[in-house]
Amino acid sequence: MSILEAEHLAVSIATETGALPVVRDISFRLDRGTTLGLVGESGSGKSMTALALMRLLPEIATATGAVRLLGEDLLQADEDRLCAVRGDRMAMVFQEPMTSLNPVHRIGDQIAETLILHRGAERRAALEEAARLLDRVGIGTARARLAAYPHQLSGGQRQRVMIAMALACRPDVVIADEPTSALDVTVQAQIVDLLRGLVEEIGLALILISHDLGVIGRLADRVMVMYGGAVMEEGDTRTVFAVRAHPYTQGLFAALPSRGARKGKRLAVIPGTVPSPDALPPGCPFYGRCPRGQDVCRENTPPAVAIDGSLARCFFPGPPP
Amino acid sequence: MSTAPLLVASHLSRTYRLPSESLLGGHATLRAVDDVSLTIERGRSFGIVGESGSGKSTLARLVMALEMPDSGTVRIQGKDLLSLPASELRRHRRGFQMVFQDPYGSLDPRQRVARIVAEPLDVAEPSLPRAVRNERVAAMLEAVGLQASAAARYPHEFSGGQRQRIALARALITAPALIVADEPVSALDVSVQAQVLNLLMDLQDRHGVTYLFISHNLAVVEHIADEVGVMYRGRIVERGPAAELFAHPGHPYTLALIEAIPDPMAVVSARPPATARGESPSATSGCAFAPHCPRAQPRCLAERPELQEIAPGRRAACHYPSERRGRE
Repeated sequence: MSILEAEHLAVSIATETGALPVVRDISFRLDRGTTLGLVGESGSGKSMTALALMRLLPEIATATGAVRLLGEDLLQADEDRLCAVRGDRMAMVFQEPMTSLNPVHRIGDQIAETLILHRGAERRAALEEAARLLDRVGIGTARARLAAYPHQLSGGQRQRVMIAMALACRPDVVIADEPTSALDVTVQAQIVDLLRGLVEEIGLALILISHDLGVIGRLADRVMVMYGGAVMEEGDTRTVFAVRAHPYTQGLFAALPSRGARKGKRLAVIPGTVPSPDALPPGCPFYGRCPRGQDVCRENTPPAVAIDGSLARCFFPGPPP
Repeated sequence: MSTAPLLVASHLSRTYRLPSESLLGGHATLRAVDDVSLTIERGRSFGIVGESGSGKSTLARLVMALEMPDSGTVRIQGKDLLSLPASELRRHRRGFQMVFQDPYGSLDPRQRVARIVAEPLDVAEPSLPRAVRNERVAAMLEAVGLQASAAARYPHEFSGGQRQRIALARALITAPALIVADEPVSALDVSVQAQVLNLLMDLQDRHGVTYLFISHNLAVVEHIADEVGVMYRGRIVERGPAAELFAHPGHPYTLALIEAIPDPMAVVSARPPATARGESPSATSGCAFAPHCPRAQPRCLAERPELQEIAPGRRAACHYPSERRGRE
């Protein structure tokens, strides 16, 4: 059995004019020791999907479908049960470690707190475990660092502390939302290596959310390319990146400044900007910016079509004509 | 028009006093910019790459005369900015403008776009007739790909990419010869980033603008810059023509930066990922990168390398720079 399964997960936000869909019909299975990447630009619904999986959505948002952790549907669970699951079986790592850590508490206590709360551990034993965790995430002289405050650490070290906190109760699933986006590239590479090591060595199931195709390419076994709340294309990462069956995936790759380009070479542009959720067409969200868009795309949900092993939700998938 | 370089910055240094660790302790100092010199010819682009703390944003503020260096000079179009009286400096500011990273924080939310864009013009030419001023604003908005009607709206009505276009319109309205752009596309989505980069290149082709372009994104710099300087701990550790420098990095730090960038196509070509290198280096009397350099020798810890020629037009501050070679 997969650790985590989402089935027809959808999120909508209540507005004066009715329910506004922000995540549309997402399904996946996640196994131990594997990484699923959610990649997309702002407004693609990737962070909303993460919050829905953790049942951390704001009150105005409603999730439908099913999110099963080892068979148990979290969308049906009560708040007590969710508190027991969050931080214990499922944990989250956020983008901004400075605002996610409590600035007035020592990092050792912050990590130990999770263990005391979920495991009923004694403070001394919890601190002992916190030192072990800091060591595991690559913080040197871990025992001495237990007494440090967040501001005494660099950005990369704070992100390591966040990861140590997420790992404290040995969760089955970790959701990391842009875990490297606020970091310098050389530090980012170290955090990527750390996450990959954790997935391989302790069999963690990781959901990695990023706008960075490079980071997704380095870490994710499978990828879902999202736009306007919907999955445009999904599959094995290597296959999706090589095939690029959906016009949005093609546009995203073409817009990337590539190394070795001639100076002054113009980049391929996806015309327009990401519309707000209330301006999205009911059919394919990419309609309006898509070079292949036809009338059929505006009103109808596109079918999932497999092209060379990559699954594209598109009426006109495949290489550009 | 003179053929003299548009910008000549010579031996710029800027030291900050850090807060003291204890009540009675002395202050440590940080050399944010340490003896940096650079020259940009008219109509060309110089890219500065580096990570946080490398001093690249401090360098931008020094070049813009928004901050005074401890030593060194900045000449724009032959004028020594730092020796100008305040009133004359203000008058000259129309010739060089700055674009910042954050298109949300850098535009005043209470002002209409017309006023935001016209502000540098109002300072430079306060007696300009209202009608002419408004015409210039409308023309500038159209030049950056917005509608003239945007003038009557407020910043919050625009997306991130559109706001960065507004910031560009504001920077360009006085027809400056130099634009200093500090991470101008870093906060934008990939698809919007491509639009703004193309616009920057179009504006250079059309108006001959000179750019000092600062970014941590090497691929972006490679697209836009003729020449590149790599900054590390306040110093330029390598510089040279962009294509050359990226294809054959001479300094081990440049190489580390290039290898750290995740390439989305690496998974397709199954190229092994690069190894990561250390962070938060400590100061030494020698090379600042030495504690994390795979090539470091005892000499590197003792003796600070100066920028020296490693190939024609290429300079690196390294005792053991790479030999020029193919990267295959």
